[in-house]
Amino acid sequence: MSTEQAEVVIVGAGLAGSIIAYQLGMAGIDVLVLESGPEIPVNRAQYLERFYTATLKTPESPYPPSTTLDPHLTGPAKLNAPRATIADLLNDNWNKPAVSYLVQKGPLPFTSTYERVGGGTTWHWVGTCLRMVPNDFRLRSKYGVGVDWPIGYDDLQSAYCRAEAEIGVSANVADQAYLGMTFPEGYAFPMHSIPLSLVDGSFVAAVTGQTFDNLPLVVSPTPAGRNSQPYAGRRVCAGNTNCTPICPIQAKYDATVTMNKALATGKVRVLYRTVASKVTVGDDHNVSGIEFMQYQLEDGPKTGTGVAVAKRYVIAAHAIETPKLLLNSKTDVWSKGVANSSGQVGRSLADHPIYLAWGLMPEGKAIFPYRGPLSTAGIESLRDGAFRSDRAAWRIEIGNEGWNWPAGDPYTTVADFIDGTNVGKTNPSNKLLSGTALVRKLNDVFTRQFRVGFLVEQVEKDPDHSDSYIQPSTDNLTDGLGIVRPEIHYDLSDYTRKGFQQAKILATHIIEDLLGGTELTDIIGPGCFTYDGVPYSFQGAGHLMGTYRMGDDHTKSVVDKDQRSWDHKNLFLVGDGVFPSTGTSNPSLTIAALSFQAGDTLANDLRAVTMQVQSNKAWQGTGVQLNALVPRLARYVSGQWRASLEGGWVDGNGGSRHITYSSYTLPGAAEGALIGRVGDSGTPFLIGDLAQLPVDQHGELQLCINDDLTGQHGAGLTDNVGALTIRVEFGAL
Amino acid sequence: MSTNLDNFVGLSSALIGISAELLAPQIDPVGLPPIFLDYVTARIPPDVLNALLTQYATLAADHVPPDQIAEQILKFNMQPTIPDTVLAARSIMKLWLLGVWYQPFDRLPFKKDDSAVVSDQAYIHSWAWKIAQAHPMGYSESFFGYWNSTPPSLEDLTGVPANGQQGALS
Amino acid sequence: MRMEVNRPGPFGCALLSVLLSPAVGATPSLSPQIPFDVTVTSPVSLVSLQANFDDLSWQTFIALNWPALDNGSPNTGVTIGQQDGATVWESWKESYQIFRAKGQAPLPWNAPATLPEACKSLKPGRLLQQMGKVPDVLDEFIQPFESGPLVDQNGVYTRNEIVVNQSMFDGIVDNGLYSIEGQQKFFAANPNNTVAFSCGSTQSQQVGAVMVKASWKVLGPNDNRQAFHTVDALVYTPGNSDPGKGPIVEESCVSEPVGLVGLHMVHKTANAAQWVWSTFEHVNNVPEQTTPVAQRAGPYLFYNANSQNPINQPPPRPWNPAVKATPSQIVREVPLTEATKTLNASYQALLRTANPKSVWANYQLISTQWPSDPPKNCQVSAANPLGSPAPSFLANATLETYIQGTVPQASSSCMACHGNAATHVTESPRTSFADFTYLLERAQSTSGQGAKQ
Repeated sequence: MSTEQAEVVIVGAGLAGSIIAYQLGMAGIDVLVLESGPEIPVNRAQYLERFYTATLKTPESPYPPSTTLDPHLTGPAKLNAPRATIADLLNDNWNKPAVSYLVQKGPLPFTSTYERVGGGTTWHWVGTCLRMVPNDFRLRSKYGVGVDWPIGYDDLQSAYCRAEAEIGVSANVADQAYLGMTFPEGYAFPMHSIPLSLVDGSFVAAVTGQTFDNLPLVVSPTPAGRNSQPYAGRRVCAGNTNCTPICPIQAKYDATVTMNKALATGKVRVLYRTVASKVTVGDDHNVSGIEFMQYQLEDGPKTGTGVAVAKRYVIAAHAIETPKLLLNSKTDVWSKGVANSSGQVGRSLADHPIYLAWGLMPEGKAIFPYRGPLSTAGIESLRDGAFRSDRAAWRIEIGNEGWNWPAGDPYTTVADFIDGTNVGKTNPSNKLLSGTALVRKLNDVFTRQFRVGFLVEQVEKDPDHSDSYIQPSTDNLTDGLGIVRPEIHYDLSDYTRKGFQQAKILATHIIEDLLGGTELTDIIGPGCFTYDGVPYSFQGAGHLMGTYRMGDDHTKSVVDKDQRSWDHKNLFLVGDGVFPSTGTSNPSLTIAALSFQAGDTLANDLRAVTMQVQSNKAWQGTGVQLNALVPRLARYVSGQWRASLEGGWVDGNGGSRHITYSSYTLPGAAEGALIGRVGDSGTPFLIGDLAQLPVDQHGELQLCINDDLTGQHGAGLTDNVGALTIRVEFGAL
Repeated sequence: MSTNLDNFVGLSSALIGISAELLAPQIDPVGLPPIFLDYVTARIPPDVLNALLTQYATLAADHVPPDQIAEQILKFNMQPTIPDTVLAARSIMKLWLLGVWYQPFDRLPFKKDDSAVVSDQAYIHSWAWKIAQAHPMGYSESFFGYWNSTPPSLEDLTGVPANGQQGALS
Repeated sequence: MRMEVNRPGPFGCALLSVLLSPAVGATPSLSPQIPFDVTVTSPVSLVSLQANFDDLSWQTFIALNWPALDNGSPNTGVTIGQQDGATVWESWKESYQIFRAKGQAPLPWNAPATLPEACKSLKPGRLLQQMGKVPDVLDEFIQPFESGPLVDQNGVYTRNEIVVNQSMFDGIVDNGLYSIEGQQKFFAANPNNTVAFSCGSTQSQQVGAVMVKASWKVLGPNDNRQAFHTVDALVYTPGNSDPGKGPIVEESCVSEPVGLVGLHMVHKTANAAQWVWSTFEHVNNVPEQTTPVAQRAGPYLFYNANSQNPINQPPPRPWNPAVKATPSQIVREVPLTEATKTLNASYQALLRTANPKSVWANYQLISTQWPSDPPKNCQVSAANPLGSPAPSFLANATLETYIQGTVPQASSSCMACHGNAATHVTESPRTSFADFTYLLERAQSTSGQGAKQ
C-alpha cells in the first residue's frame, strides 16, 4: 500500500478535474490527479483506428476499455475501469448485468454513457456550448416545479466567460442574447460563429415567422467548442461530421488541452489506471484520504494499492462514478456514505432524454446532409416560457448527419436497396436495385434526409424523494477490481413525459407542415414509455446530472454553492452532479464555469493572502505576484482607517472628498480609498472595497491608502490612524 | 485475356454503377481492388467467385451494358433460396459502398451475417458517401465552411448524372 | 472484350508534352538549377511516377543546398560539397521576419534579418527561433496534435525554422497577407480573391513557390561536425508564461554550432496544385522499426541501442529547453522503399564525385508526396481537394516524430494535414483556404491584440 501526497488530490482527469488542476497548478499548488482510465495518448492514431474499423460507430467506439462488441470480452465484471456504453443497451441487454456495466433496475433504461480515460467524456462530446438561461436556475420559485439553484445566471457570468475562453467557443453575442441571457458590455466570444449548414438553411426558411405555444420558432447558430478560426494552436473545423465520437483533427476542444496546460505548470501529476475505491473520513469529520487500486491491463489483475493524502480533496468523476465512490465509502460512522447526511447522494439522476424525429424532404428538395459538424444550429427559443409550470421544456438540436443516428444510415438504406428489405422505410415496395439506378436512388434518398432531437428537461415529481437514482449494487455485483458497481433506478415523471408529448406535436408540425416533408419517426428501443396512451421512444443525450446537488439547505443538498461538501469541509464535489436542475442546455459549458469557481475557492482556501494595510505607511507589499493568466481580486474584509480628521473613518471605498493633488496616491480618487499598483513602477489603480486586479501587468501587488504621500499639503501619512484587513484572492468579477 | 482482377473490378463496377476507372484508377496510391479481391477470395468458395467472374466476363465480351450485366448477375427468378452467387454479389456491392464485408453465407470459419470493416482505407474510400455528395463521417478533405455551399454534383463525384433537377433548398 | 481499365490521366498528358519538348535533365546531375516541375518518363505507372518525383526531390535538394553567394544566388563557380558553407535556401526569408509583431510589413527581400533584443550582443549567426515539438504547435504556433520536443543524445532539444523563397515571399507581401487586417482587406477587395501561390512550370521556365522547413541539432563536443552540414546559429527561445501558447520558458539566445538533421522542401508546380512535398534526413537519425533490435547498430542521433526507454514517446511535461532532458528513443515506423534506398545510394555517390567527404552525402531522401490526380490549371477542385496523395502517408522522423504511422488523419500525411491550414479570415471556404501553408496563421493584428493564440 503506497502513500501519495499532494496539497490537493483530484479524482478524475476529465473536464472538471483538468480545469481545476490547471488553475491550481497556475496558483503554485501541488496537485495529484487520480484517473481510472489510461493515459492521454501521444496522438489519436489508436483511437481513430479503433473508430475507423468499428462496425458499430457508437460514442464509445474509439475508446478503451473494450465493450461487449469485442469478442474477447467476457463481461463488465472482468474490467477494471468499466463504464456505461451504448453497446450495453443493444439486444435487450440493458437490464442484464452479465452484459451491462450499469446494473439497471428500471423501470426505464438509463441510456446515456460516459468515458473513463485521460481527458474524460469530452473526447466524445458534440461540442455544444450553450449557457443555461436565467430561469433554469429558479424553476421552483418561478414555475413551482423542481428545485432552485442557490446561485443564478449572474453569479456565473464571469465564470462562463472564462470557460468560453478556455474551451474556445465560436459564437456571436447577437445570436445568443435570448431568454434573458446577458453578456458583459462589449463581450465577444473567442471566435466567430460557425457557418450554418444547408440543412439548417432549410429549417430557417421553414420556421421563420412561425410560432408554437405562443413563442416564436427561431433557428440559432449553436455556440460550440469547435474552432472557427485558428485558436490556441488548434486547427479550424474541416467538417468531418464526426464530433461524436471523435474529432480526427482536434478542431473540437477536449479536456486533454487543459490537462496538458496543467502539466506544463510543473505542479500537476497524474496517476493513470488508478481507480479511487474509498474515501476515508477522520474523527474531525474531514476527509483523511482516498484509497485507490491500480492496474495495467484493462482486464488484468490489480497491480497495486495505495492511499492519496492531501489538504483538500476534489471528486470529479462524473455523475455516476462520484456518488458510487461516496456511497461505497460508507462506514459505521458514516452509515449513509461519505458526504451524505442529506441522503441526496446518488439521488435525482437525470439525463436530457431526447425525442428524436426524422424525415425526408420532398422530392427534388435536396438539403445535403452528412456534411459539416454534427450540429451547427438549433431552435432554442422554446427553452423557457409559461408552459414550464405544466410540462418540461426542451431545446431542438438540428442534426447534420442525415439518418445516421435514428436509422444507422447509410448502412441501412444501402442494404435495403441491395437486399430488397425496408428496414429504413424508404423501400416500401422492396425494390432490388443495382448499377446506376442504385446510385441515383441512394443519392435521391440520402440528400433529402434530416433528423432533429428535442433535448427534454428531466424534472422529478418529488425532487426530495426522487424516482431516479444510483446506488451501489444491492446484488453486490462488482467490477474487475472488486468494486461494487452502480445500480440504476430510472423513470420519467409525467411532467417530463408531457414535454415529449408537445415535442412530438411540434416535430410533426415542422416536418410535415413547415418543411413539407415526410415524417418517418418511429419507436426505436430500448428506451420507450407511454403517455396518454401514446408510445414514445427516448434516447440518451450523454448528459448525466444531478446526483450530488448543490443547495443552501444542508438537509436537502450535498454541497453548498461553492461546491464544498456540507459534511466535510475539505471535500469538493464538482461536475454536473452538482446541478439541482438540468435546464435544457448541454451541460459541459456550465460544468466548466462551475469548475473555474471551484478552482478559485480551492486556491483561496490554500493561498489567499489576508493582510493588514496600515494607513500610516506608504506602499506595502502583499507578496502576491500577479501574472496575466490567473484572475485575482482584492477584497476589503474589515476595519476602518482615517486619512484626515475631516475625512473621518472610512473603509476601502474612502470618503467623500476627492483630492486632485499630484502628491496623492491616486489623484482624483476618494481620500482614504484603497489603491493598488503592480511593482514599484506600476501605475496606481483604484481598488475600493472590491476590484479585479489588472491582468496585463507582471509583478508584486502593492497596496496603499489614498492620501498625501509626501506631506506636501499637511501632515501626510503621519496623522493617519487605523488599518484595513484586505484579502487578495483568486477569482473574477 | 482479362485477369481475375480486371474481371473483379469490372464486375464490381457494373454492380454498383461506378466506373472501373474510378474504382481502379491507372495511378492508384491506395490500391483497394487487389486487397478486396484477396479478402473476398478468402471468404467465398472458389466456385462461387469463379462463377461470378466468368458470368461477368462473358456478358462483357458480348458488349452487354454494365447496368444490364448487374441485373443478370443479381436476378434469381423468385427462387425460395437465393443463390450463393447472388448473395456474394450483394456482399461485394456493400464492400465497395460501405467498406464493410457482410459474410453472405456460412463458410468456416466465417458465419453468415458476420460483419467487419475491411480496413481504415476501405472505410474512408467507400462510395456510399460520395453518392450522398458528402464524405465518410470522420474523414473530410474539405475546407472550413464548405457545408454552407452546395456540394460538387453527383456526376463530378461518381460519374453518374443525377435524374432531373436537384436544387438545394434556399 | 477487355474492359478498359487504363485511362490517360493527367500524367499521361504530361508525358505527351514531355515527349514534344526537349528532354530536361533526365539523368541525375549536380546542378544549381531548381527544377521547374517533374520530368515524367514512360511507361507511366505509380512506381515510375514516384521515381520521377523522387528525382525531382534530389535535384531540388542539390539546388537548394548549393553554396550561395552573398546575394543568395548559387555560386556557379563551385560544386556542392567541395566545402560546407551557407546554402541558397539559408538566404531565404524566415517566417518570423515575415509575420511580425503588430502585423508590421516585412522588410524588403534583400534586407538583413532583424534580431531579437536578447540576441543582439551575440556573435553574428543565423537565428533559429523555433523549438521543435512544443505543445500545441508543430512548429512555433501550429501543431496538428500535441507532439513534444525531440531530444538528442546530449539531452538537448532540436530546433526548427521555416523559410520561403522570393516567389512565395512576394505572394505574401504583395497581397498583404502578413497581417490579419491585410488578409481581411485582400479577401474583401475582390470576391474572387483566393490565396494562390505561384505554380512552377517547365513551359514558362519559372520556379514556383517553395517553402523549406529545417530541423537542426545542437552540436556538442562528442558530435562529429564533419558529418553534418553545419551553421553557427543563434538559438533563440522566446519567453512565454502562458501554457496555452507553449511551454513556460524564459527568453534566451545562445550562439551555438548546429548540424542539419532534417529538411522539408515543398514546391508548388503546375502538375501539383497541392504542392510536391520532399523530405530528407541525416542518414544517422534513427533505425527503422522493421530492423530487428539486435541489428540496430548505429550509432544514431536519436536512438540508443542500450536504452530501455519507451519508443516514440515524447518526454513528460513540462517541456523546458533550458533543462537537460532524457534523450528521445525514436524509430522510423514506415521504412524507406527499396527503390528509394537505391536512388539515395546513387545520388550520394554522385555527390561524392565532387568531394569524397561531401557532407551532403550524409543525407537521404525519405520519400516525396505528390498528388496523383492533380487538378487542371493548378487550381484545387472541390471534388478531390487533396488530389489523391501518393504515398498516402509521409513523415520525417525529426519533424513529425510522434505522428508517424498509417492511420488516416492521425498519422502524418503532408497534404492531409496541410489541407487543414487556414487564414485568419474564415468566412467562407474561399477565404479560409490558405493554399497548404500554416504560415498565414502566424499573422498578427496591427492593433497589437495578437492572433487568437
